[in-house]
Amino acid sequence: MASQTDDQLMMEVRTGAVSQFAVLFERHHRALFRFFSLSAGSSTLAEDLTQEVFFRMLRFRETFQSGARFTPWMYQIARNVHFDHLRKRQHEMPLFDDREGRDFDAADPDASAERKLMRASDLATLRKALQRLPADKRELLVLCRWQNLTYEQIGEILQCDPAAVKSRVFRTMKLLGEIFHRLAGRQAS
Amino acid sequence: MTCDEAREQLATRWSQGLPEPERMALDGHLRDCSACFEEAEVLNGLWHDLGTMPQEEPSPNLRANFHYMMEAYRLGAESSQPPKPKVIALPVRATGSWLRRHAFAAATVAASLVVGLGVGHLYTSRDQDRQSLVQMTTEMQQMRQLVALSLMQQQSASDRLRGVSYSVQLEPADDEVVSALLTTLNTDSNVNVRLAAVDALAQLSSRVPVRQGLRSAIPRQDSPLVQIALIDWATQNKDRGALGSLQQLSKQSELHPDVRVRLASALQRLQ
Repeated sequence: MASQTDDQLMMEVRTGAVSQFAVLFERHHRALFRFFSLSAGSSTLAEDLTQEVFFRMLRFRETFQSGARFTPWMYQIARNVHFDHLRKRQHEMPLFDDREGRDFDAADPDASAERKLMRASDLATLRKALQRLPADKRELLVLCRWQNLTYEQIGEILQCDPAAVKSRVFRTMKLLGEIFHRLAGRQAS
Repeated sequence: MTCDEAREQLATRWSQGLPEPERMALDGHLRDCSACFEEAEVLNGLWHDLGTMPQEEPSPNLRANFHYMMEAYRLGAESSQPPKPKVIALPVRATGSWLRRHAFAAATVAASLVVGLGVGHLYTSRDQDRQSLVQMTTEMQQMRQLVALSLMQQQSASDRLRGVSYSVQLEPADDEVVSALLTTLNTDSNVNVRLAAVDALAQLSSRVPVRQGLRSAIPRQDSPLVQIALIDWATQNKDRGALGSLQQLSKQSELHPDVRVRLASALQRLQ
């Protein structure tokens, strides 16, 4: 079972071997959770959205065509789930980021206390900057930085050319840098 | 290499690395172009820092809910018969976490199913899918109802509050849910839960039994907040049928002064 590719497993799920879906869950739920955790800004919400992606994949398994690639298909569904969520929440208050402050644990254990604090503060600011990116740009960065997807795969998910993906990633990084430095400057002053 | 090409190569290097010739060409450009060099320094650092942000792990609930969903899906797939009229045996007020855990799991599944159904409606047009959709909708409604009713029986006030809120999403809420909401309004020990029940019932007050239930609840309430909520409901809905209950309430000797003022205004407007 372990040697089967995701695509093969999903084809089996599609043709009725629904129990194989549990294997796909084990392979991908962490990555999807992190995708939502970083995109949506709340780990509780991330779990709900992850659950929803698996539900939709199961419910609409027939849309997985022979020869299709599982990962881009899964992320396309994940993006739809995220989009639907954003649309529902567009008139509500921004979600509270339930991880605020946790970056203080992430510092290098060998660093001095002062450096640890500065580093943690930088990471907290970076997380805030990430949350302030427009949703589509944040999503692009999450796909690119944390999901180990190639630009070709991201292009397939976003339905655009890999070169366009690179260009958008660069522009998004620049924007993130601007937001980060603005936030860091505000904190310093 | 132009600056634009250098930017594209930088993006490639961040994500996938660059083969030696391209890497050398990029480094050469960065040596010669101070603007690109400075930009690359900043963005390389940022890219690195992004990678050091702590990664979270999902809680065990995610896996538990997944398997619950699989089980629910399997049961749904096995059932090709139209759903039978349901008889829900409400649990005695649960003391353990089992029911709560499963109620939440069911709530998650139910929420997922609802969204899935919405998308399904967009995706499918064939008759078979429509039939399946109808069946799923019915099952969904039953599941949501079960969850709402179960939550309303919990010991924790926040769970009961959640149950009342959940019942609002039931379309249409059946008599059993209405009855549970009225019981909650009249007997729940927590004011917030009773207020939530007023709100939930107010949305259903086009139905005669709901209006009657709300009217008869007016003189039975001892919380000024709930009394005011019910007075407001009657006033906003211009429910002259509530006059008797409001007059009954006005005869109570220990009414809060604010309630008395609101009540006098309501009686004046409705008479």
